[in-house]
Amino acid sequence: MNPVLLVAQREVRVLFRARPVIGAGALVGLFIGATPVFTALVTGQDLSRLFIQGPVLGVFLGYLFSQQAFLREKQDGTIETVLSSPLTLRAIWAGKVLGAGGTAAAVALLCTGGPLLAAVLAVPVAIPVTPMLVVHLVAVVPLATAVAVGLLGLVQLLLGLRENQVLNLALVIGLVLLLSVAQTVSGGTPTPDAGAATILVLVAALALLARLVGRVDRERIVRTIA
Amino acid sequence: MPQIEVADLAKAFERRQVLDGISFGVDGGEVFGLLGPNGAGKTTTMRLLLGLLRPTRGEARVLGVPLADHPDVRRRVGVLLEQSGMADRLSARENLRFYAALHGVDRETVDDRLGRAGLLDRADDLVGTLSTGMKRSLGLVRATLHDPEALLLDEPTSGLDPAAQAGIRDLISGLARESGAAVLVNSHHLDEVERICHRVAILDRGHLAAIGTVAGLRQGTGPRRYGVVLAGGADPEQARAVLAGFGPVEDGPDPGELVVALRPGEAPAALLRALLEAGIGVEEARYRARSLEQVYLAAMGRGGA
Repeated sequence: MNPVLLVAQREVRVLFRARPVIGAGALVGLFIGATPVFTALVTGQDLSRLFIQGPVLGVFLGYLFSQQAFLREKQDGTIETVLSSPLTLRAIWAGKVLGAGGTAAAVALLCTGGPLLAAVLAVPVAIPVTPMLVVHLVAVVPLATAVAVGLLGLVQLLLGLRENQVLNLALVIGLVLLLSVAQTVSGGTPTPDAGAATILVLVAALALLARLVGRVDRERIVRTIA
Repeated sequence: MPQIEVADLAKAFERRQVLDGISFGVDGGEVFGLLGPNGAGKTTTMRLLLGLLRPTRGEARVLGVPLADHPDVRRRVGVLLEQSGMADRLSARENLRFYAALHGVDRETVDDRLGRAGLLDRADDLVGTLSTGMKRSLGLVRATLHDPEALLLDEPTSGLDPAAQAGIRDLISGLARESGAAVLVNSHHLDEVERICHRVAILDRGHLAAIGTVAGLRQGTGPRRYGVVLAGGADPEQARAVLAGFGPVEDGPDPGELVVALRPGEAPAALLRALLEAGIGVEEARYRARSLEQVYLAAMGRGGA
């Protein structure tokens, strides 16, 4: 199996052992994800709020699920062994982004797409689900989540796996602000061009993060171990 | 060519010199012990060899390459560091399967090795629930799962009961002997090093204080040591006074034994004659090599010569 997939699989296993974290994330996710659908059903408003709430939920869940993903390696005393294995630092990072970020994105999609699908199937009221919204949920939510997890991971690696919750929160808030600004600029419901541009920017950000991780010195991490 | 090699290796953290120009090599099939007190630079040497730290000067190579730049070669190396390297929230089997997959080892081998280590009945328990000794054993299973060509072990028997320690010593010796792996062992346990290592290096504050075979180091280049077991009824103080004429005297390891570090030119025959002339009976007499502990303490500058 590909080393990145192996790390991702390991990450998902560990994450699912922390059921309260997954449960709390899913609960918050359902509340945030179902609200716009419920509002649309009751008031007849469009679903444009989902364009921002979907990615924001992904970023939040990414933060929640990946908080310990990198730090745990140091707390468990596994980091030196993992770094001594055939894995590169970039493969470790990518596996964690895929594992923790993938889980967060899946929960975010279930929490937003689930109520939407249920409403479309069960309620005899027209729900304005556009192809743009579907593309947005399927592409932008996972990418925004991955960028959030990747950025948090890079910063933790640069800090030598030392915990800094203030910095983590600042990064998450910064990302949410960026997403909000992007949505405001695109006028609430993004055009196909704006959607494509968002996807391109997120892919470029992810590629840049992967490149930067490749430059992190392993010594920076090991020197913080007693 | 040595499988594990450090040449003029030096490492400084900011202005603190942790290692200063050490050199040694470990050949295939050899078990090499790295001894030294805390802070001597043993773990730093290990980390430099694994490519986790960059040397300030010199080279650290495993299987001919610096491991930092060769993840593919790390596939052929086994590592057990101070901590066993197993994720607490995964089971023993899940942990091993992860590393097995990284090294291209099949799942059957994982269960086979778990069985050999006596851990099969705990294979599905979370590692966090295992005892320190079990974690250590599991760590060693992980480190040797892929039959590595080079094995780097940091305190491999730490936290284990005597039976488990003996099992691990046998495993390490067997790996070197049967598969020709080069094994580097960091240890505080002098008796363990003495039992399994072919050669030993003693580190003191980042410098190589001594290096050689265990037998060679024990024999040493210092004064020859001669042990005399006094016959019953002999006066030890009188014997001590006689022996002092041949060199510094200390109590030997056996009951009633005195050990003399012979001065240059002094011979055991003259020493025995002097004792007999003084009316002191001798039950047994032979050359005494230093214990590894004495070698170690001497290298640390704390007597024992």
